[in-house]
Amino acid sequence: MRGRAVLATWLVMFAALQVGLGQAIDRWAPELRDAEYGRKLALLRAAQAAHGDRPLLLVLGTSRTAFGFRPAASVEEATRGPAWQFNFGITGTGPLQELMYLRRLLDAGIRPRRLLIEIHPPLLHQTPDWCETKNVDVRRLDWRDVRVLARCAFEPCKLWVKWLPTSLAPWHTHRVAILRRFAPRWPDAESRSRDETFLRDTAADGWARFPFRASDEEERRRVTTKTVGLYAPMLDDFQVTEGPRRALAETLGLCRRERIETALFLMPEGSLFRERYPLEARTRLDGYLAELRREYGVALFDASAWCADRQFFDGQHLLPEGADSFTARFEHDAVEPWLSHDSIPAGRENRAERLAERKPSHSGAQSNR
Amino acid sequence: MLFCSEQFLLFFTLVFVAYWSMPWRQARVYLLLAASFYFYASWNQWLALIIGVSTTIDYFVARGIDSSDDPRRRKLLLSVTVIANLGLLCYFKYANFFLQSLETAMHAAGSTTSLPLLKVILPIGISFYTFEAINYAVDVYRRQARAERNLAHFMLFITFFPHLVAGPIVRARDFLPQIRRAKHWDWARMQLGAQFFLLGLFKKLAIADRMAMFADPVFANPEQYRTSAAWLAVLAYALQIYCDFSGYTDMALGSAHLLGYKLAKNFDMPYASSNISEFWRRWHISLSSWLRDYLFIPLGGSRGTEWQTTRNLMITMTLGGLWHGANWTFVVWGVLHGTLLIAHRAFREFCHIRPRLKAMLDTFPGGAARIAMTFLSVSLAWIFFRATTFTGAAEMFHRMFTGQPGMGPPLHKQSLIVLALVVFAAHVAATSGLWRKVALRMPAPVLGVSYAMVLTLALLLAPDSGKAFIYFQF
Repeated sequence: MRGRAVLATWLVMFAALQVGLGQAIDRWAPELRDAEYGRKLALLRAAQAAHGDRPLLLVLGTSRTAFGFRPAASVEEATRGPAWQFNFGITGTGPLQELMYLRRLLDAGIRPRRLLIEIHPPLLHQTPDWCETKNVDVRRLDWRDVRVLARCAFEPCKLWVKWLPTSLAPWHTHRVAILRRFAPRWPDAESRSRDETFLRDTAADGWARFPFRASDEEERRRVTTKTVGLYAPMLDDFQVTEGPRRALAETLGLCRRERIETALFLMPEGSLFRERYPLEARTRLDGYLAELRREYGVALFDASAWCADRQFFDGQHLLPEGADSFTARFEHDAVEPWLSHDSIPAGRENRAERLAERKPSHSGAQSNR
Repeated sequence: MLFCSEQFLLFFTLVFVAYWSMPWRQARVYLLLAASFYFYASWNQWLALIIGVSTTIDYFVARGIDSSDDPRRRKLLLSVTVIANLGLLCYFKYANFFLQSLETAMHAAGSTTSLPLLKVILPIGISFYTFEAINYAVDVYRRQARAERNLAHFMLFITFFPHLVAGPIVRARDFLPQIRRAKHWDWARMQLGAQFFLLGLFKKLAIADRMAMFADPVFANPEQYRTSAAWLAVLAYALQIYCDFSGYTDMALGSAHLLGYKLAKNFDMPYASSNISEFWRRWHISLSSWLRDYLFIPLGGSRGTEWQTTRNLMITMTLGGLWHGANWTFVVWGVLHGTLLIAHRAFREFCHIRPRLKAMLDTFPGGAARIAMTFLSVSLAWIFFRATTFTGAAEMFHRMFTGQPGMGPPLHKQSLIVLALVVFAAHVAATSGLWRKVALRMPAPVLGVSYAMVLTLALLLAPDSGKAFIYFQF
């Protein structure tokens, strides 16, 4: 009987320790599960405390946004007083994870007055061979995240099966983050994750300094060609696939229900990138974006041709000087006009979009600013 | 699959549930046999065939020895099985080593001939299961055991997955009767098994794999590290190899207990030894007792002259070193230990006629000094065991004994110091009997909570990338 009591207590206590840690992470230390999200959330909360009741304009996006958008201190909102902005771009994400992060933020009590959502065109085409749910680090997810992603995944069961073992022993799954926080001398240098490299220079407004720089033009070209090549399979046979379509629909529907005024935007791309889109891909993309604007009444800012090639590291991630230049123009040509007018019904001309939009250059001409 | 992997956890859970769900003893034997072959085949299916065939041959040869009264025929059959098993071991493990050594010797003599190397994969666990087969045949020959008449039982004795790949080396007379015994669910035994498994998991994940982070980079490039880093690496390796191997054994013992089997203890706090002879009674007990019973004693043991005893010790320890790996560094490690054993015998004789010296050595400080000296000697010998070349070993010694500049330890020494103290405290608690007293008096829920915390700690401290068990390569 003693043996049974020992084993039973052992099992129960072990389970309690795992569940307890999961709850603790959710409540007090989300950075232990998802370092980048946790860090940005902490910065967002700190900024929120500093800005008081001023409305928040949250910018949600991928690594393009994370490194490329450097918010101004304040943007005057004509009718509602000054708004403040925060960059919540997260590396390695796409439309499915943007939905996931939005839900996380809403659950955490973050309620932006306005939301800018990045559209990353190649990531609208996801296949079973390449999709967010295949590449996502499941250790960063809790069961609510998996539920959200599974709704838009090709193989939801596989995602659950991949995630389940990591959820059974969070003390093991998140051990590197826990040790780094509570016993920083114990983890070794190799266990420093990719997040650490990108998190090092994250500013109070959420913008992260891109950590690399090409040594010369030759290297920049080489890196850009390689990066464009990675996206080639998505662009060659481009269509907006079911998963991203569903994710964006759910995101925009959620914003509508939560009364969050929303706009979509495309981040700059280098000329090699822009040239890589076949005509059919561009047509399908434009058609889809027009459909979204009609259905949800959202503005769209196409900044894809705004930056010179030298302002990028790899044709998609802006260097700090590129981020400064892009942000200045984006604030002036897109954000300020958007904030200064009332909502316009879909189909009507939108001054902000007219100022912001530039047609993509099929001939490859650079847009020099 | 490693004992500390998710695959093994799933595999063992399925086997455990199926095993205890079956009320039939023979069905359980077949289940364990199937599970053991599956376990082995998870490394390489073809090598699973080799162990199956060699085990079958050993079974029939042993039955032939047992059923014959003709001494010549019995000796012949024994020779067949011993040579077959040693031949298997030599071919897979040592053929290329001998060929390379021969080529080196020929080149040193001026020849330019190159010898072709064989393309062989080392079957995992071959050093262990061939020794088990040999000890079984010898026990049958000596009439210390009857030949097993049930092929499935014999196969299970050799291939039982908890001990298959890295021991302990099991004696047939200890294991075979257990197969025939009925197994009943026993909570106390389940607790014991789980306890052993937990201890092994903690040793492996929290200590051994972490110590590897200190030792591996330094042994790989000793010339880059300073003296203190080299000493820390040697200490780390001493802890690593002990916790890795004894951790594996604990998990093997635990798995066996959970299935109703008892395997022999393989480690008994070896770093608490006060001399090298005691160390070999506490370290890898199944191998040292095998070498004693099947090599040292047949050679004459310590029954002859001092010279004969010395010769027998050196042969036994040299071959014991070679057993560990196909490299001259292992041979030198074995020779070193043989030398230490001989030196200890001489010192013991020296002290025997000096009662004051003996009394001084028996005091607490004297005992502590002896333990420290033994640990130091063993740790320095481990350098040959760990280094892959003599150059590397020499460089380690050079770094350690001449003040050399260079990089500090690969990791902050805080974790090494803390875990070394944990191992030290565990040794003290175990050897003093304190742990046993405390564990028996502790209320069951408190014990259960402690185990949950230890398990959580083991999972927390596991390094990012897991390592295979060191003794799997033997």
